[in-house]
Amino acid sequence: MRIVRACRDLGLASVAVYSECDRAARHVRMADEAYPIGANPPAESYLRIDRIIDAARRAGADAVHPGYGFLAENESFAAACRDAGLTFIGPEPETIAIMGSKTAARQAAVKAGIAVVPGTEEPLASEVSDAKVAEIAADIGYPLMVKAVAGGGGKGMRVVWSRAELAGAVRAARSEASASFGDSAIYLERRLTRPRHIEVQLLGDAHGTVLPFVERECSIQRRHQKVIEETPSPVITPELRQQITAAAAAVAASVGYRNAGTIEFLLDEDKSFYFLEMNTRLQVEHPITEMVTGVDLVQWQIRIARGEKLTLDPQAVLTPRGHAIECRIYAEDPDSGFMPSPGHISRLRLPAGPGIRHDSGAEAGSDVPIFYDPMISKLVAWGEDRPQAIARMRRALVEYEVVGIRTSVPFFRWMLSQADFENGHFDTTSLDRLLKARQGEPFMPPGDADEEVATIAAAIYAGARDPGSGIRLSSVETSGQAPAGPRTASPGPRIPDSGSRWKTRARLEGLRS
Amino acid sequence: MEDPRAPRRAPLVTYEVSINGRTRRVEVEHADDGLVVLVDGQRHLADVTSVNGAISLILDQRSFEVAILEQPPASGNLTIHVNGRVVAASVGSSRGARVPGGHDAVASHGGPHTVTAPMPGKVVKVLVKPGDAVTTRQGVVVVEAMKMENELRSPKAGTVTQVTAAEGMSVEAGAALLVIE
Repeated sequence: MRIVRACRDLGLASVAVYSECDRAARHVRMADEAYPIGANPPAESYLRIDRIIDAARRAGADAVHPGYGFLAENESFAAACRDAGLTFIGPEPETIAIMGSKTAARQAAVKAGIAVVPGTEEPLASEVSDAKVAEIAADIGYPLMVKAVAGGGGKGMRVVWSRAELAGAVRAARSEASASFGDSAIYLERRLTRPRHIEVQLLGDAHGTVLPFVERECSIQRRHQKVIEETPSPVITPELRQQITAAAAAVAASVGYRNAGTIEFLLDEDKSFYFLEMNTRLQVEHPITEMVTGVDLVQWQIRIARGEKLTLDPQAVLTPRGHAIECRIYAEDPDSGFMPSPGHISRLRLPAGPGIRHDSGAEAGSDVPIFYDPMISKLVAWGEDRPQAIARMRRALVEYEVVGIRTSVPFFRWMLSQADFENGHFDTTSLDRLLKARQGEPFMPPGDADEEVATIAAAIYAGARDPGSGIRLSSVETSGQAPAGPRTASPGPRIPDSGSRWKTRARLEGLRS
Repeated sequence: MEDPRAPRRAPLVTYEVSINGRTRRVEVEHADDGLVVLVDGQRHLADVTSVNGAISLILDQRSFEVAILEQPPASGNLTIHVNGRVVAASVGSSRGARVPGGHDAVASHGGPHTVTAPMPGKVVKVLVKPGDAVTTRQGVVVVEAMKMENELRSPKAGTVTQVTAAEGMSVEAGAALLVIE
């Protein structure tokens, strides 16, 4: 959806691909053209490079946007696009290969003069024995992190507190890494005790310009998965921003980085920062950067791929206008240990209003499939300052009602009311500690007043349902809920843009939003 | 507006509504402008309109939007969304009222409890065997779904009496995995 919209804003036609269960998905209906690419398991559709390239050929597409899931950081896919004469909207396959390997990326950062978290310099392939891994681990010291070399999104990652846990953690990380990324190599890294996660969005063009943006903070993580992101960070001073964004730009420039990417850092308690890794793609949290800089990152991705020069003011994109926060809304039940909750959405009341941006693929009547990441939307709040952004997010979370499946909305309402969050006192380990301390207590338990209203509503509902009761409710259907037909705005002229023959294929996967 | 002191008419319907272990008797009757609802005898004026599948409820001039999901249909088991919170309720006619439902009621029962798969997926690991003693919230089986491994926990302290889940097995939502007594 995000990419279809950017294409339309640029006057480009978009082409979606879809698996069987995504036939009715919104991105498919919104795109100008759509091609089926196989069965539901990702390995039979969204990870099938051959089928995607074939669909692009049949559509006569000029370029391919890899989205931010599945093949977005896969150098073989980028290379296959190039070989097929398609422009890959992202970095060169060679750059993806360097930065996609966490160990090679660390080496690149060291070469650029940027500190990295101490750890193994070479990947540990599956042949490396447990004994050898334990020996390396002893050198690094505990606690440490086991991470997938090809990793991302918190998958294939484990914290190890002592030698006794090492072999099990390595086994689990290898198996998850192999399942998610097709590569079981891992590496070890020292674990900073209370780090904050700070990252820098970059755009690089084909003319040698690398532009860093104001930082994002993504320290609110559950089991190493980001759940809330914000920009600017409440703890970064203008001086520190200068240093960290310059460091990010230096690493990117050292590999000739082109298109959108993000460099992640860990910020230690003493305010020293360490290179963590680079994401060679658009990130889920990109909207908050767009909100405070006014820059459309996806449009720029396409323009850069077209060979255009970056004309943004470097100082302006480092100067945040207000504050933005994103909550990743998942189809999961926070009151059952965040268990996935796929299924049918029978009703949806969406948040809107001042400062709210809601990027979503979900609709009333749609199903959240079991095959993919269960994120259903990205809810973003912008405010003149952090307190206003938080207040707007809280308001939007109350407006946001999903009936039929459980979502993480109640968790976010709780999280945003925590004093430590309001004060900006948190690090990447805070949320897991907070959750542990709650011992599964419900996040938004109904109070007596809620139960009173529910009791009355239940009886009225039961009466209205029973034809013999004599209770009839008047009914109003507002026009906004009319059955969804092909509601796509007319695609408009196919090629209105300065004679360009661009037809951008938008591949929206994973989140499909 | 309805005068709350208006003479009583015979209730149209009477229901028993159970929420969180508490059952209340609710009578609904017509008023000139809406409904009169008596909850254990306490009187409320309700103006009710259905809007896009939700219920707009103006209760003694306080406004609520309430969404209700009944699963399975006609079961009387309701999930009620109100004020951004979710209430589990069961509703039945006052004669032969049904057993109050809801998660907590079941979990606190003394009898055997079957741990079921909450979603379709694959059993990755079975962490207990028959005869094992388990504590409340102890992990008992790991199911992989939506690319993530999820640990299912015991809802109560007890002894594992039966294990039907096996590692590598594909399971449907609701499939019995093991029994704790």
